[in-house]
Amino acid sequence: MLFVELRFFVFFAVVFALTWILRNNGQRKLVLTAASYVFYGLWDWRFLGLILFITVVSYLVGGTRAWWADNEAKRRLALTAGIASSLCVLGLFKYFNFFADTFAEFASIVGLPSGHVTLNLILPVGISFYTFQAISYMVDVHRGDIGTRRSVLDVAFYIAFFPQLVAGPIVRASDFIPQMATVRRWADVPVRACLTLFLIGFIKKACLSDNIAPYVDLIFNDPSAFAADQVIAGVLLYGVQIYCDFSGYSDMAIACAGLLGYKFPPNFDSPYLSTNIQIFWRRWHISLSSWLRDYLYIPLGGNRKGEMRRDVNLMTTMVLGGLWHGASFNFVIWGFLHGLALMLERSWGKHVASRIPSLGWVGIVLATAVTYFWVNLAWIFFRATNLNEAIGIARTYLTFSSPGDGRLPISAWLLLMVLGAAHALAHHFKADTYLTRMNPNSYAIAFGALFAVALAFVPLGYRPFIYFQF
Amino acid sequence: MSSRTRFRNIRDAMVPCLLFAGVFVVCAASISTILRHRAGVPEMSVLSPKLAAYQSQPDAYDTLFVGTSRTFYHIVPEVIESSAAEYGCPDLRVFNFGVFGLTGAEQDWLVDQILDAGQGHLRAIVLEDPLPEARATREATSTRARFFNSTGNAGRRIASIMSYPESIAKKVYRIGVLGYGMAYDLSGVGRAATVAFPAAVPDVPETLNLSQDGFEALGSVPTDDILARHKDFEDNPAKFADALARYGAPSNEKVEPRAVYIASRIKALEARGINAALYISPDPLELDRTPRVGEAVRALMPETTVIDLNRPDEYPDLFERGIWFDFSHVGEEGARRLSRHAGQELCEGLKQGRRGVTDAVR
Repeated sequence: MLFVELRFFVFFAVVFALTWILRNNGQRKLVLTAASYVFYGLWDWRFLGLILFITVVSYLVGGTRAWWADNEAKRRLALTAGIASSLCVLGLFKYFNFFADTFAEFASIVGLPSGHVTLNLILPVGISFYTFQAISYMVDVHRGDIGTRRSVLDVAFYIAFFPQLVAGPIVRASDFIPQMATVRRWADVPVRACLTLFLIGFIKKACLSDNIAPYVDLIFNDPSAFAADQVIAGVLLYGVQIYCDFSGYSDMAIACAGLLGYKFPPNFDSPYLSTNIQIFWRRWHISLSSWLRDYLYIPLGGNRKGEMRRDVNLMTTMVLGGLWHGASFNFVIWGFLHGLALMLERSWGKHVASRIPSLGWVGIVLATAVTYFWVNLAWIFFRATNLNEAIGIARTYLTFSSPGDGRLPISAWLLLMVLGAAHALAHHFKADTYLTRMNPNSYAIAFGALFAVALAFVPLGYRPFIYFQF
Repeated sequence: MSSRTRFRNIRDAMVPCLLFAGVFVVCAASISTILRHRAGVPEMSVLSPKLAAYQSQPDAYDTLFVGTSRTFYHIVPEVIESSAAEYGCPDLRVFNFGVFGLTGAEQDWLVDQILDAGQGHLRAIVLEDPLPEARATREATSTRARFFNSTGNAGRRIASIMSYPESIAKKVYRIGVLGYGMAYDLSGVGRAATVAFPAAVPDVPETLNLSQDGFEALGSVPTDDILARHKDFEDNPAKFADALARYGAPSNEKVEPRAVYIASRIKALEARGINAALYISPDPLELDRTPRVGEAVRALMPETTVIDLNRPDEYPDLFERGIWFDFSHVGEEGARRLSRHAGQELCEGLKQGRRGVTDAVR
């Protein structure tokens, strides 16, 4: 069930009505948890057991804080076991075949018997997201950032809450669990802001990403058939597609949670306007990058143990972040390219930047362009189905040469310019806040008209969200 | 909270909701209506290639069978022509305009297209009673259905639903599906997208083997659905016998409104000077319905030719189980047998019809 489908609107309307009709906080949480399980069960009911397993493990590990309050060693052991079991589930479903294949290839190279084993496993939708949320709960309770939840329902609700269940944002337990403690009040819900955010997300996903996707597919399916400028435009269009797809999903998820009384942190903040990769990662998939920072980079030592160790930690974090997206060397290279850029930026900042004069706004434009160029180079590896294809497209991207002369059936560069201008203007003028500040009646009229126009731009046939596969 | 305050709160909340709904409906319907014309006629399986082939050389045919899959898979033009010639109507040039799933609105539109291509050469149009409108929600939003879901078609589609001999509950369901389809169309969804974002891979018009003038032997192009239907037929021999036993059984279904509906189509053609006839295909599952519709049409329009082949007593050779492919369609051998009978009946009808054999053999 996608957020842009009619049946989701019906589903949400029922859940919304039930939530606000009920007065009791426990009943609301029960309804929302049940609705979340229905939502997930409609994808594949067989994997409900997996969520339940992870929930129970998280609950038990969280419980050790109360049961073994005086025994740090036991609690640490329980935490390790809990994280390990969650990661085992993730590893089994997501990475088993990747590592088995890689091991078999390596074994054949060095002349060892490979004993190749491949499991025919379906990747449960959203497993990477709810596994990370479960780890967040266990770690946050262990650190004492939040108290142990006595009710397993609270943990189940936190892990399964349907707006973020299948593609994030990855909501920290320390951000979300405290919100459960009190009855959410309708008067506190920023209705217009939520509706506006939903509409923006809907437009990004349904009107932009889904319409652009067929052109991107065309380029990536047969890049050698297209002229170099079209291949490059295709790469940039993919950058637009994945941004609109994922940030659109996040916007809708945040809006849905908001309408149910819960606040999620923002997940995107105009990342393509970043002037370096470090800033890009503060604006792109913020919930994942901050999760990796707090639960991986800092525990690894962060930048506290010297430059060399910092660079190793950075690269480790980015490569693992890449691998989190999928079991493929393409994702590893994607993470490596971002890690490399972060390392180079640090060196540039320390050794070069201070010696050259500031270029003012020209420097900002240049830095933004270079960052955008690098991010899109990395996207090639993210999108391509195999390494050879990625290298071929990257070569065209870097050398501006291609054997083909095919053209897309749309003025891709014009489209990119229009979208870029619209994005920059919307960011600068904060169009969403302007809409939100209208009086209720004017807002209703504008929202009705905008929604009708948006609907007309929805292509026939839905495409699943890109991040559902992660 | 006092009741007055509560009322004021509800009113304050309702006004924006109503404004939203009103503005949305007006804007969406306007966009849909404006862009509907730009969308043009969609590519429709079987129908489009047949219509394109006919429009490219309308003079090549003078007798058209327009109907559902029971026309598509049953009417063999060359057999009709030879059979009609044998019975005194030489030189007929028959085209099979059968399209699976053809509904009333689609049939009306198709006939209009045929007449727009020029009618001077036409000797006869033989209509089959089309399928009931709005059969399933999953079909209500297809591109083909959407083309016919315009508000302009609503009246005659409702008339078709109301005339179909079935229960009130089914009629209500069909009107609901029709409403859903029309609402989907009026929402304008996708209308601007097709204009702003041209298809990455342009649709290739469907090619159809028209070497047999529109006829296709059922099973010659197997699909999962066709094979499943055949298997169901093979696995349930008793169901076929049970269906045959229903012939002549009393029924409460009122067929007169459907006869009026069909008669109005026939009269419209005759008013334009074209011989029109009704073809009723053999169909064991419809034995308690379609023959009665045929009789009712005859009662309304005694001079009209009704080629009613759904009569096991008159045409026992068409109800031998061996010639059937599934419960509603015969295979190629059955289609040839059936077409011989149809050619004979058509010729006899043309000879006795209002315009007579003079026109028929013109």
